[in-house]
This record gives sequence, C-alpha cells and structure tokens, in this order.
Amino acid sequence: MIFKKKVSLNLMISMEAFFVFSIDTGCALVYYIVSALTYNDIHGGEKMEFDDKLPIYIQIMNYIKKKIVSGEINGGDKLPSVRELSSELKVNPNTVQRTYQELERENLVFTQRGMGTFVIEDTEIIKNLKKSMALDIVNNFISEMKELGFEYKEIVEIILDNKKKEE
Amino acid sequence: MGNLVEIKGLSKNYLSKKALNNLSLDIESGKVVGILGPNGSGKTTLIKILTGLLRQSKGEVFIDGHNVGVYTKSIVSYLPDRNFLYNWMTIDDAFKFYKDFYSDFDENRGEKLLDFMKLEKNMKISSLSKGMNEKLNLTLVLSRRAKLYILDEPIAGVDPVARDKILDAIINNYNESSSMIITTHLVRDMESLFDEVVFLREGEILLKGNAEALREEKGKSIDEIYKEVFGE
Repeated sequence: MIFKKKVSLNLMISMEAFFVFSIDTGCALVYYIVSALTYNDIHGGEKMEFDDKLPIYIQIMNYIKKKIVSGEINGGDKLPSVRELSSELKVNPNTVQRTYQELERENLVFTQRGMGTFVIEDTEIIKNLKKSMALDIVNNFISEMKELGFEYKEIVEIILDNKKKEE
Repeated sequence: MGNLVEIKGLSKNYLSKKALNNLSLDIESGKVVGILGPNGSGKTTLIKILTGLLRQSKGEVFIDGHNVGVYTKSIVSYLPDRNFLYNWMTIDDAFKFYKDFYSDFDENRGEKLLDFMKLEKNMKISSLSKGMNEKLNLTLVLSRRAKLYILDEPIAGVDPVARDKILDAIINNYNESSSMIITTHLVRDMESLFDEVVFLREGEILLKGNAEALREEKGKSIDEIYKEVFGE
C-alpha cells in the first residue's frame, strides 16, 4: 500500500518535471528566434567590437570619425542621442557623453541646446580628417612592413602586384 | 556631485575569518561602480551590509547621509544573487508584491520593462527558466525609483542573448540622479558599463579607479587588468 503510493507520487513528480522542462525549452527557443530576428533589425547586422587596449571613449570617437569620413554620416547630420548610442553600443552613457565632448573639442561636431549633437558642415575639416586618418593607417602599415624587413621599394612593388591581381 | 555612499573602515568577521578588512570607499551619485573580485573576496558580504542584511563588526556606512536602516532601505533597490520570488507566484503576483512593499515602485516602468523582456504577466514563476527569472527579478528591481541600485551578479548563468537584454535594460534605466553598484566576475561582458571599478581580494581593496583612466594608464582592458591582478 505504502509502496504503491510512493510510486505514483514519483510518477507525478517526474511528469511535472517533464512538463516544466518542455515549457521552459519551448519558451527559450521562441525567445531565441525572436531576439535573433530583432537583433539584426536594431543593429543593421553590425555591431561595434571593442579593442581592449584603448579607452572606450576613444574607440567610439574613431567609430564615429570613420562613419563621417566614409560618408555614412554627412555634414549637418544629427548624431544619435547619448542614450540611444549607449544603448546600441552597450556602454555607460557617461562614456558616450565624454565621446561627444571630445569630438566637440576637436571641432567635428557641435551641440545645439535641446536639439542634439550635429556633425560639422565644414567640408574642409572633414577632408582634413580623412587625410589624417589615411595617414595613420599608412604609417602603421609602413612601420609594420619595415619591422618585417621590407624597404620602400619592395613595399611599392607588393602594392602594385596586388593592384594587378585585383584588376 | 556629492557622495551617495560613504564607507569608512568597514570590517566584518565570521568568527575568526575576516570577510572584510578595514575597507573604505566613497561612491558619487550618478556613477556606475563595478565591484570585481573572485568568489569569496567579500563582494556579497559588502553588499549585504549596505542593504542591512548583515551588521558590520567594525566601521561605518552612510547612504545618502544616513546609517543603514529603515530610510536607507527605502532608497536602495537590491537584486540578490539568487531568485527572491516564491514559486507559487505568477508574474502578476510578483508585481503586486513589489507594489505593496515599495512605495517607489513605478508600475508603468515595470510594464514597459516586462514587455521589453518579453515576459507575460500570467506566467508562473515556477515555469520560468533561469534566464527568464533573472530578467523578471531585474525588471522588478529596476522598476523602483531608487537612489541606489545594487545588483549582485546580474548576468551570472544566463545565455549571451539574455545577457545583452539585461545589459540593455540596465543602460536604459540608469539615470544621472541615481547610482549603481554592480558586482560581477564576468568582467568582459560588463566592463563597458562601469564608470569606476573596485578590485576586491580577501576583503581588501587591491585597486580602484576610473575605468577609462585605468585603461589609458595600463593600456589594457579592465578584463585584462582583472586577470593580471587576480591571476596566479
């Protein structure tokens, strides 16, 4: 009698466990799919990866500069609000605030009270920015090539070779 | 901006074991502070003293100028490191429970967060997965209009998607007039959230400072600094 009771109780527990488990995994799966779908919507399939070595505000500055130089953001465009960007990049709002302050100090953006932060319309400044960013990349590249033991002449040859292959 | 939290010479002993040893720390209002340390470093003990769940053996703690007590409990919203809701409850019950307990509970904000977390009010607590439970607990904690939020291991044991969701909720609901204390050992996932970080080992502060300044000074991420400080 007692034995029988125990068995049925056990059965009930395992049934319950099974039921809970299946609801659980079902929900998780639905959730996964939904969030995977919405994720790409919000981020446009792109997400900023942080490099470890630099302060985050500088990395966000570079990220915005790149967008300005490549024309993804035009002169006069409004930047996202501090809160929007911090939520998008998953960083502290104070960090984004600092990014905007530093960009303002470099005269790349300006803030209009109550309106938001805007990219400067001066094409000369943007052109200079483009030049200086290009120079940074080239300098990096050359110093690394030199570390590998290449001379200028060889570097140029490699680049021309590469160009031919692309064509 | 003044200090919301002032901790002076705080010690806590469990019999002969020292969990906290003469710890002093100020937290400004409007800041997000990460308390980082391995298991057993005293993170949870520190938080339990701040929330009034434990009494210190020595030292003083002031929150918004008051000793820990009825007033400080009314302005501190605390996320414990384990589920604090009863299994018989539905999410709706949990909402009512929080509304009864805390006068600063903002139901409107709660509903929005619940929606954001894709949770339904008629769900039963007992049928929630670990990640969903974590999201619900955080929803309730962030729905209070508190001056200080204390989150103990908010993303421990949840999958990366839920993790992102939780980080989003924290960022979206943080405001300049309140502070946040977050403990974690998952430094990599959370480091971009912190204004200040405090490294804790064996109840003592090994290192503390502004997160960006530390990155700049050491040329390393907080995660790497963590590994350097605590690595063998």
